[in-house]
Amino acid sequence: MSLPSKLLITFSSLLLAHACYSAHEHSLLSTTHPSPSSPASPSTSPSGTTTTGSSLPLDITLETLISVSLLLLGIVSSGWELKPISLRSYAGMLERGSVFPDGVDGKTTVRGRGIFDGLEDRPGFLDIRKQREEFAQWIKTHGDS
Amino acid sequence: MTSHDRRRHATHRRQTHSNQLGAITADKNPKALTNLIAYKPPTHHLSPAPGVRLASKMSLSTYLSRFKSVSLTPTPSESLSLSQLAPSILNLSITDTPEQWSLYESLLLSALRTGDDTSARLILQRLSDRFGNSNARIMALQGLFDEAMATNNAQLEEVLKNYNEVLKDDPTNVPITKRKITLLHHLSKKTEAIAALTVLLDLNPTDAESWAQLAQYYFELSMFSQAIFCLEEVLLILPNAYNVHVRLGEISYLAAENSGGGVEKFETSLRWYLRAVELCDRYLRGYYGVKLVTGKLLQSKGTRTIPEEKVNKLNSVATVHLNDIVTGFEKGTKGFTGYDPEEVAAVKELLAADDVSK
Amino acid sequence: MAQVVGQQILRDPALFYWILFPITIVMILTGVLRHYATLLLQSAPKPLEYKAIREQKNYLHGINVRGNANQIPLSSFTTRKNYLVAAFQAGNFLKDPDAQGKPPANPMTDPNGMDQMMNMMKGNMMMIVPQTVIMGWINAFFSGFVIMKLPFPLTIRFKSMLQSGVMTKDMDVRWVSSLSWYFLCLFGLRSVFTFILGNDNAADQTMAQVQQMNPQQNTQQLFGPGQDPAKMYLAEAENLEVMVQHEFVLDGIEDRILATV
Repeated sequence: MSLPSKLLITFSSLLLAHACYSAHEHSLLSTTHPSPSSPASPSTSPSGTTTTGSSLPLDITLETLISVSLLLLGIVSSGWELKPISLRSYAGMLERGSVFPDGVDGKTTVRGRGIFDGLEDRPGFLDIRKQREEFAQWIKTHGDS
Repeated sequence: MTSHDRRRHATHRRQTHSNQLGAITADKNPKALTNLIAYKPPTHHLSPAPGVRLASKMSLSTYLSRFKSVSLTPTPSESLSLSQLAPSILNLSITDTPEQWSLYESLLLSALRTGDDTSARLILQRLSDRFGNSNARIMALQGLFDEAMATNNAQLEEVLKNYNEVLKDDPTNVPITKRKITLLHHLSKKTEAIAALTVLLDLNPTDAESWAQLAQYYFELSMFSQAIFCLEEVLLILPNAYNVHVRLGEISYLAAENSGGGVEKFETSLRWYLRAVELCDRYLRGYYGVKLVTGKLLQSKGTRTIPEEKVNKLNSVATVHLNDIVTGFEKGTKGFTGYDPEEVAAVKELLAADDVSK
Repeated sequence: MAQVVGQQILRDPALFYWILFPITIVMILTGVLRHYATLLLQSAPKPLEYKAIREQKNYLHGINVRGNANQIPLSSFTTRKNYLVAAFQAGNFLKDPDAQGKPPANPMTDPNGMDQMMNMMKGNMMMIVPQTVIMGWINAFFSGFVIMKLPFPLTIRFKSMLQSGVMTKDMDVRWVSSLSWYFLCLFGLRSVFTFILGNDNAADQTMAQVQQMNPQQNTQQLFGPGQDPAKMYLAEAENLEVMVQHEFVLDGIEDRILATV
């Protein structure tokens, strides 16, 4: 996450919080002001007596809208690494081992694994005896040295 | 189509060929010696060997990612290090999640590869306890185990007979059919293997794996046009499989070489390679082929459909990319480390040969 | 400023604890129970026989050849096309070629269809029985209760949805009756079930409804019960036959590569 986007997110969050607080204060003022002595009913919450008809002042609305759009901008630009969209570049990155498919940990391996490697590995037709022989051969030649 | 293949197959002749592509398609030579010092013959029974104490702290997903990062035909040192994880994986409590069982399956394969038969038997036992012996996949794994355990050809024939029994009862058991085909091929009954595979493909012509395997069998018998036919079928199923395009390029190249090499045939090969490069950015095998075939085309004479200047340009484009890959790989630049060392070595050879000829 | 003071109704907080919570909890528990009961009752789908698999896969093969024809050279495509069209028209891949032209089998007598119907029946029973029981329970005990108030205003249209069982014309739309709470739970607990039971759970009715709507989506049964495979094969043969345009992707690839790389 780059510093400018961090700052942007912090700033716009503060702005949004401020807008929320202002809106809350405003609604409190307009509900309590005309009838300050109305008793609160015991069974309902204070919001049960909210009123309709009073609208928010323009500056609070504007503040909210601006802060939300800034926040969105900040989050989008905060830049986690996006995966390439085209098959060409993604497949190339997989083959070169600069990204790894899901579930493969890049730290334990360096070899790239392509998307269609299954067509060349062909797990259904695994010739286990041949691989065993190869391994035994390898142990024999390298184990003694 | 498949019966057509079979008919053609009767007239096959075996050929041997030496080719530059051998460097890429040949089996990998085991070079890494890193794990050898730690290696002991597999005698452990569920007690972690001292060398793997660190590994025992890893979680299921870490293990799984290690197995996933290795191809199904690993180098011996890779399969050794994987197989050494067996005791610690088997000591994990069984959580009955799909991950756990897929991990068991991979572990079984690497245990069988390295000859760790005690672990393999235990893993297979646990798998069949969970899924039952009549599960097609478990049956195939059991067959794999039996194949690995057989000591002589008579026992292998016995395994083959078992497969035939199973298939008589249930001809739709695809995993066992595939095992049977592999075993037939291993027993050098190549025509029978191909015949069985064509029957399987008649049942299910949308299985890319089987088509690719059939292409490989035909390729081994040097029946290039049949191999190309099969790979085209793979493309009909997976149109973006760039490694199939490369393979088509390689096989067309060999076919062109074998038949004395008309320019036209090399151009076909070049086009397949180019398509692979178009589908996969900085694809080593693709550019290797482009470089190889354009070099060939520049030398040969005949009527071309691709003008010479374009061939020249393509050749230089491939050279630039291959040089990038080699230098990037040798310096260990980020994003270049994933190439196969042996393929890079083959590229270096090709580039050096090109320099000499100039 | 014109001010309208909201409607106020004095409610016993016990309504909240003894109606709202019980209904919610019962709904969740029924969902979980239904999930496990469905799992128990479900019979494994019968594996298809050899010829049925062959019929389906070869049909798919025809579709693949048509869809990805541009990936292979024209000559290869023409060979395949001629072969497939001939084979499709001759009905070489049909499960039973003799049934061609006969009316499709009655799904009621077809044993495969019977199996499917039985499964559907079981699923439906698992839905209907608990729903009827719970609805009866709520109607018997809590009918006509107003149990909560939504914290936001709504238009009058929601009245029928939120206040079923309460016949009061002038009541604010924000008040919710017990029967309506039941319906809200019935349709709104989906994400809760996903959270508790995992992604494709049997308690999820919406999914079940979608699956009932189009059984053909199920890969096991490519051809639905009413469809005639022979006709579909003939249609596919025709589709292949009329394909005239073929643009091989390898044509002009050298120019494309030189232009982009």
